[in-house]
Amino acid sequence: MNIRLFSYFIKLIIKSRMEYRGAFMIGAVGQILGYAANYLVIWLLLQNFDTINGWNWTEIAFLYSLNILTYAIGASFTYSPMVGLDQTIINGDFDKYLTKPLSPFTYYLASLFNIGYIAHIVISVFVLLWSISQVDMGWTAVKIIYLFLAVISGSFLQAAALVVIGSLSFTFLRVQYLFSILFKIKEFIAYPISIYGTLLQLILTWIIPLAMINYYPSLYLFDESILTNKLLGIVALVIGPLAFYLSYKLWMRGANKYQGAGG
Amino acid sequence: MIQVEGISKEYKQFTRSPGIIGSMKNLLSREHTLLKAVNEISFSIEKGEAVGYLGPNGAGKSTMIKMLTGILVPTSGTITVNNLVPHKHRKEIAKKVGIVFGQRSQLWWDLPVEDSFELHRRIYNIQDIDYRKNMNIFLELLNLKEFITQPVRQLSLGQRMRAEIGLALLHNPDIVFLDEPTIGLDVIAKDNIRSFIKQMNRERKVSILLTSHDLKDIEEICPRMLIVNKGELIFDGTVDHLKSSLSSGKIITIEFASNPGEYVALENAELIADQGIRKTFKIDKGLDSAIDFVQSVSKRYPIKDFILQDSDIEDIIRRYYRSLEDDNNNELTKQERLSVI
Repeated sequence: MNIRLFSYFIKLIIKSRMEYRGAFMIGAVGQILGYAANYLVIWLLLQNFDTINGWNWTEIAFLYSLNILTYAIGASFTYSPMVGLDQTIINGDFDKYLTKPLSPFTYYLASLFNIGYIAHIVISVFVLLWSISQVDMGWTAVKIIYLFLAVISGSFLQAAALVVIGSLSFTFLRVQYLFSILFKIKEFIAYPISIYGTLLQLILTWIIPLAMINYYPSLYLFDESILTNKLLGIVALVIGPLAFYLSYKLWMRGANKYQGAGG
Repeated sequence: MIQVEGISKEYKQFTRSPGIIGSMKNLLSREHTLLKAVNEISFSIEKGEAVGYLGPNGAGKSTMIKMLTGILVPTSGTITVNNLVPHKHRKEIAKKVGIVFGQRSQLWWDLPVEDSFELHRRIYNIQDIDYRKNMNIFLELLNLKEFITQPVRQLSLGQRMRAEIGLALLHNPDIVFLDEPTIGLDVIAKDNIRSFIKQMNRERKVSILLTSHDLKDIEEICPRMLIVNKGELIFDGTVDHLKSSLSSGKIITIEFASNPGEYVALENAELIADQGIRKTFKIDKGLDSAIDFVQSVSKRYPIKDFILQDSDIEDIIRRYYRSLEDDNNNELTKQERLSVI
C-alpha cells in the first residue's frame, strides 16, 4: 500500500467520522479535559514538593507531553485495529482483510485509522511548546533534529507495544486484559524513572523499554551531562522503528497462523 | 481455471466436558477432536463456467471458498486458481478474483456508495477507461444510479447487495465467488441479482462459483452443480442429470367420487397420504405410467379429479440428504480423537 492509498483511507475515515460530528466534538473535548486534569494533578503535586528527584514542573510537563504526543501518533495507527483484533477474529470479519491485493497489515491498519487522537495531539503539543519556552535548553540544530527524531521513534515504539499485544489475539483469541496491563505499566513513565528502584529502572530501559520514549530523550535535551551513557540517547532514536518492524513480523506470523488454523 | 485435487481441511475443535468440574478439567488438559470440514474433494472449473456449490449448513462450503481465495491454507491436497496456489499468491489471485459474502459487507457503512467504488478503483489500480465503462454498465444494469450518492446505512438490503456485487466485479475479475448472495432478499431483488450474474457470466465469460441455500439461484444461474455433505463431494453434474437420476418419481393426488377404502388396487404405486376420498400416491416411473395408473384406477373406482405433480428440486435434494444420512447412521462416526495435554 502506498502513501496515496493510505491517505485516501484516512480521507474516508474523516468523512465517516464527520457524519457524527457532534459525537466527535464531544469526544475531543472530553479527551482534552481528561488530559488537562492529568497535567493538573502533576502540577498540584509539584506545588508541594517543588521538584521530583531534581525535575521541576516544566521539565515534568515536557516529559509527560512527550509521552502523550508519541502515544497519540502511534495509537492513531494501531490502537483501534489492535484492541479490536480479537473481536474481529471471533466474528469472522478478519477474512475481509485477506481478500484484497494488499498486505493484510497495512490494509487492516488503514481501515481502522483513528482520527480521535487529534485531541491528545492538540493538548500535548500545546504543553510541549509551552514547557520548551519556559526552560532554557540551549537549542541547537542538532537538538531540534534530535527532538523531531525522538518523537518519531517514540511513536513507533508506542505503536509497536499495541501491535505486539494485538498479535497475540491470533493465538489466544482474547487479550483485552493484556492491554489493561500495558496501560498500567505505562503509568510509570509519567514521571522520571530515576525515582524508582534500580530493578524497575533496568526493566523500563531494557526489557520493556518505555523509558526510551520520553525519559532518555528528555535527559539528552535538558542536559547532556546528566546522561552518563550517551549511547542511550542514540538507542532511543532507533529502538522505535526496530521494535515496530519486529512487532510487524510477529503480527504477520500470527496472520499466517490464522490462515493455517482458520480462526 | 480452477483445479482442486484431493483437498482436505481439518479444524481442531476442543471438546468441552459438561459441568463445573468438567470445565476445570478442561483448563488443565484439553481434549480435541479433529473436525474434517472438507474431505478429499476434487473438481475443476473451466473459464466461463457457472457452478453451484450446494450443501446443508456446516457442509464445508465457506471453508472451500476460503481455501480457493487463499484466506485459508488447506490441510492437504492441491488447489490452483489461474495456475497459482491461492495461499501462496494471495495478492495476485486477489486481483483476478471477486468475492461477495452475503453476510459481510465490503461497503463503508457511513459513506455514500460511490466512495466505496472509488476506494476499490484505487485498491485495484483500475484504469480510468475501465472504471468508467464498468460504472456506466453497473449504474444501468444494477440500477445503482438511484442510490449511489446515499450513505450505505440508508440502503435497503436489496440495494446494498446490488452494490456489493457491482463492487466485486469492478476490477474485471476472471472468477467471482458468491457466498449466499441472495440471503434475506425478496423475490424481485433476487431476480435482479440472478439476471445480472447470469449476464456477466454470459457476456464477460466470468467464471462463477456460487453457494446458496436457495436452489432457485443455482437452477437459474448454474448449469452445473456440486453437492457437498459433511465435507464430502457427493454429486457433480448438471441440474437435469440430478433431476433425472433422482426424481423419476411422480406424485399423483386423486379425488374419488366415493371413498374406495384403504386398500385401493395398486400397481407400482405407494400410498403416501390418505384423506378418505382424497388419496396421494407416489409412483416410480415416467409420465406414461402415471397416465396408465390413473386410467387403471379410474376403471375400478369412479374418479372426480386428479393432480399430477413433479417433485421439485428442493424435494429431490432433501431426499438425497436423507438417504445419505440413513446410510451414515449405520456406520460409526468417522471422527478421529486425539488427546493433547
